[in-house]
Amino acid sequence: MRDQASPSPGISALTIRGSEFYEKTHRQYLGTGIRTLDLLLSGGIQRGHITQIMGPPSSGKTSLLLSILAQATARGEWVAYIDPFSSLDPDFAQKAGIDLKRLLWIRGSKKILEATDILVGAGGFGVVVLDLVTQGRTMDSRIFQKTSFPAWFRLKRAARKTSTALLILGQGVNAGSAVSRVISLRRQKTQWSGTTDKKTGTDPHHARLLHGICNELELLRGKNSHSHATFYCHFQL
Amino acid sequence: MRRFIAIFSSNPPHTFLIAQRLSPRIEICSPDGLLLEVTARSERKALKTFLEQAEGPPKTGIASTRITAILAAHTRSGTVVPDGKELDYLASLPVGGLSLILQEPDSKLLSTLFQWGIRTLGDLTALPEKDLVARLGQKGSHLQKMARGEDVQLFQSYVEAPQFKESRELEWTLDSLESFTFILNGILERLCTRLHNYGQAADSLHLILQLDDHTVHERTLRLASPMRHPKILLSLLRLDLQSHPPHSGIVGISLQAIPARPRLIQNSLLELSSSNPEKLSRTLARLTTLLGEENVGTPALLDTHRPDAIYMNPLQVESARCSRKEKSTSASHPGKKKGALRESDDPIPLTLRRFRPPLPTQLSTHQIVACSGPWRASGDWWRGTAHAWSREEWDVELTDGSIRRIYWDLLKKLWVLEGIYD
Repeated sequence: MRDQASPSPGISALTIRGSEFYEKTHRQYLGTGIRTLDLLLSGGIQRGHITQIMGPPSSGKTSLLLSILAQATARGEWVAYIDPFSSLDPDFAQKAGIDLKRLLWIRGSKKILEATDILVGAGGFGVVVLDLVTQGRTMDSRIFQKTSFPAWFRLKRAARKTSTALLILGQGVNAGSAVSRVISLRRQKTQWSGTTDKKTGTDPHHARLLHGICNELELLRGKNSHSHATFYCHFQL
Repeated sequence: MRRFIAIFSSNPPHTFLIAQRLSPRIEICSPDGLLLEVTARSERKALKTFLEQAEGPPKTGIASTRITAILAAHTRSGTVVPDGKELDYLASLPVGGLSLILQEPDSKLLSTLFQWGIRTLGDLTALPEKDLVARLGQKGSHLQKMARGEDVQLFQSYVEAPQFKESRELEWTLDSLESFTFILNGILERLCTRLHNYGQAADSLHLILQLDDHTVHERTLRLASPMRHPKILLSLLRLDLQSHPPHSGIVGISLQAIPARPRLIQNSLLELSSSNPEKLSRTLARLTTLLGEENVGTPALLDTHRPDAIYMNPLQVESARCSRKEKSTSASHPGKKKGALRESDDPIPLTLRRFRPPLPTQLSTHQIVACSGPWRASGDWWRGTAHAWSREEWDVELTDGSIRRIYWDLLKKLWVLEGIYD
C-alpha cells in the first residue's frame, strides 16, 4: 500500500475548486491580481469587510492596493480613493491598469472620516480606500489616531450592509478590532539592473536601472493567518 | 384635401416667420426652401398673403404632392398644379430637374438616363418599370415614382425644440432654505413632468435667483447622468445651495433644465449591477458640499511630459460606461493588456507615492545604498521662465529601506524629494 503524501504546508495545501473560486471571486471576494495572495485569502479581498494593508515605506503596499483597484475597475465597478495627502499618482495608477474614469479621487486632509462614512454608507462602490500613510508628514491627529472604536465599527456595519470592501492603507493597524483582515508587507530585496564596471568592480550609477522590488506579505488576522507569500513589483517606464 | 406650397427665397428666416403665421405644418426641405401644408380652400389666400409680405420675389409652387410643388417652384415659379394633373404637368419638364431633389450619389443616375436619350420626365415615366429596376436597381423605381409626382418621402413637420424652463416671482422675500425648498419642489415637479412628457431628462440645471438687493445669484448644476426624478434633483439643488448660499433674500426663481436623452441601460447577466446613477449623483453632491468641488472628481492626465501634469474632472457616469464599452471591444484585441483581469503570479507594476508639493530634501552619501541616474528631463521653456522646468532625476535606495525618487532642480538649484516607491 502506498503512503499518501501529506500536503506540504503553505500555499500548496490551499486548494479550491474552480467553480467555487469563480463564484467567490466575483460575488463575495474581490481579486487582488496576485494569484498566490488570492489563494491565501480564499478568493481575494472580502466584500463588506474592512481590510488593512500595512507596511513600512517601499514595502509594495500601494502597488498591491492599485492592483486591487485595477481588478475592480476591470470588472466595471466604481472605486473611491480617499487621499488626505494627495499621494496618488494618476499616471502610475493608469499604468497599474486602473480605469481612471471609474476612480473617484477625494483629496484634502479634513473630514476624511465623514467622507468615508458617506461613501461606504451610500453603496455602489466596489472598493473604498482610506489612505492613512503619512510618509513622515503630520496629519491632524483627531482624524484617525483618536478616532473612537465605535466610529470604526459603524463603518464596518455600513460596509457589511452595502457589500463595499473598505481598504485601509497605513503604516500600522489603525482601525483596531474592526478590521477583519490585516495584510502586512515588508520589502525583501530591491532589484537593480545594470552592467558592472570591469575596472572598479562596481556598477556605475548611470548604467543602472531600478528593476523592481521583491516583497513579502503576511496575513496577520483572519483565516490562514501567519501565512506568507511573496510577490514582485516591476518598475514600468 | 391637403395641398403643398413650396417656397424658395433668399431670406429663409423671414420666410419661416411668415410661414408660421400661415400654417402650423411646415417642413424645412432645403437650406433656402420651405414646404407648407395647407387645405385646398386656403391655398390661394395663403399664397397671396405670403407674396404680399415676403421680401423679394420668392419662387413658389402649389401642388397636391411635395415633389410636384418643389419642381413647380424651381422650374416655373408661381405655378398652381391642379389636383390629379401632376403627371400631365411633370411630363414636359426636363429630367435634369430631379437633380434639385436627389442626393449626390443618386444624381449620377441622371447622366445615365441622359445617355439613354431620356430628356423629359414624361420619357422616364414611359419606360417599363421592370426593365428600369433590372438596370438601375430600386433607385430606378424611385426615380420613376418621382417623375410621376409621387412622394417617396413623407412630410416631416418642423417641431420647435421645447424649452424646459419654470419661473416664479415671490410675493415676499424668502430667507431660509427650508421655505425655499418648498417652492423649489413644486417647480421641479412641474419641470420633471414636462421632461417626462417629452421623453427627455435633465442633463444639467441652471438656477437663477433674483435677490432683494436687485442682484442675481446663478448656479449651474451638472448632473453625473441625465435624470428626471424631482426628489433627487431637489436634494442636489439643496446641497448645492448649502455650499453656495445666496447672500440676500430671494424674491424670484427661474429654473431651466437642459434636456438630454434619458439613460437606458440593459445590463448583462454576466456583469455586476452597477451603481444607481441618481444615488451616485447624490453621494457626489454630498461629498462636494463637504470637501469642495476641487477635491472631488476623477483624475485625468494632461498630454505633456511634465511630471505630475494632472487635472480633476467631475465624475461622469455616462463617459465611464462608454469607456467600459471601449474596453470590452479593446479586450478582444490581443496585445492590449490594460484593464484586463489578472489571475497570475506575474509582477505587478511598481507605484510611486508622490509628495505634493515636492519636498526640498538633503541626503548625505552614507545614507545611500544604491542609486541610478541622473535622468535629465526638461520642458515648457517655450512658455517662459515661470513655467519652465529642468531636472536630473535619481532613484535612490536608502539605509532606512525606502526607495525614493529625488531630483536636482537645475533652475532652482536644490534637491527635491518627489516621491517614494511603494
